[in-house]
Amino acid sequence: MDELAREIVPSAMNNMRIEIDEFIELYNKKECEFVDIRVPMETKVWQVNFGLQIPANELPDRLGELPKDKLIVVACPKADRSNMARSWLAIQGFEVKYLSGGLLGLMDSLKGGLAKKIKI
Amino acid sequence: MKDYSISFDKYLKDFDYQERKDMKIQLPEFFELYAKGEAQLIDIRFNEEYEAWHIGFGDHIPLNELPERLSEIDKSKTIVTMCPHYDRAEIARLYLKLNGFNARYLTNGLLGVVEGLRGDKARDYIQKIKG
Repeated sequence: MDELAREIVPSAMNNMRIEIDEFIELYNKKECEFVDIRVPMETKVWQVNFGLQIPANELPDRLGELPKDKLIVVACPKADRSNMARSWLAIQGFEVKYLSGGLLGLMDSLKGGLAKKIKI
Repeated sequence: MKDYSISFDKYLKDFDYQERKDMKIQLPEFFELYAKGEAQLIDIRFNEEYEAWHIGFGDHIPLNELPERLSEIDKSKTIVTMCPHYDRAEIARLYLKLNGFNARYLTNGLLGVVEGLRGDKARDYIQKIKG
């Protein structure tokens, strides 16, 4: 974590997050995996029909479920918990970004006919 | 002094509904804590950003200088981290938390502070904290 904090420079800020449109493009090309890191109660209320569901606090025990050969995109409703999960996964050596705009942003950009944008 | 630092693994595994609340602080509560002298506000933006514009109270420690400057942070206070929105503030909060500080990130960010302290509200708050 010391190293992670020290290495943050302005030009690298964009490397830690991914915008929704870019995420959809990569996901459609199967170049990234999507992980909803919300707690089980939240995913029960509403869920995304693609990607993985691994609550943030279960990540340490469920690392084996994550692909090592592609970008991991973590998401929570906005971007605070996903940012935390990203930090942890980055320290574990994964190529990982958090979804800028969060799940709420994602739902907003997949409204109506726009839902066809993502290939499930 | 007792070392309250914890490993990231442990922090993540223990992350629950309560911590989800405790990790953040909203403007009204922050204003109150800060006025009472119970909070240390840290603007964690890069030096160039801070130079371009900053607010008239609180401290400035860029995120990437935090590891070397922990001694400037008051263990007895609630540490409130702040950036324009809250993405980097959250990283700083997490880092400080793992190092044993009681840290929270300001949900409204710097933009929220400047939005909240306009005109007479700025006057009243500055008078309140500066006497």
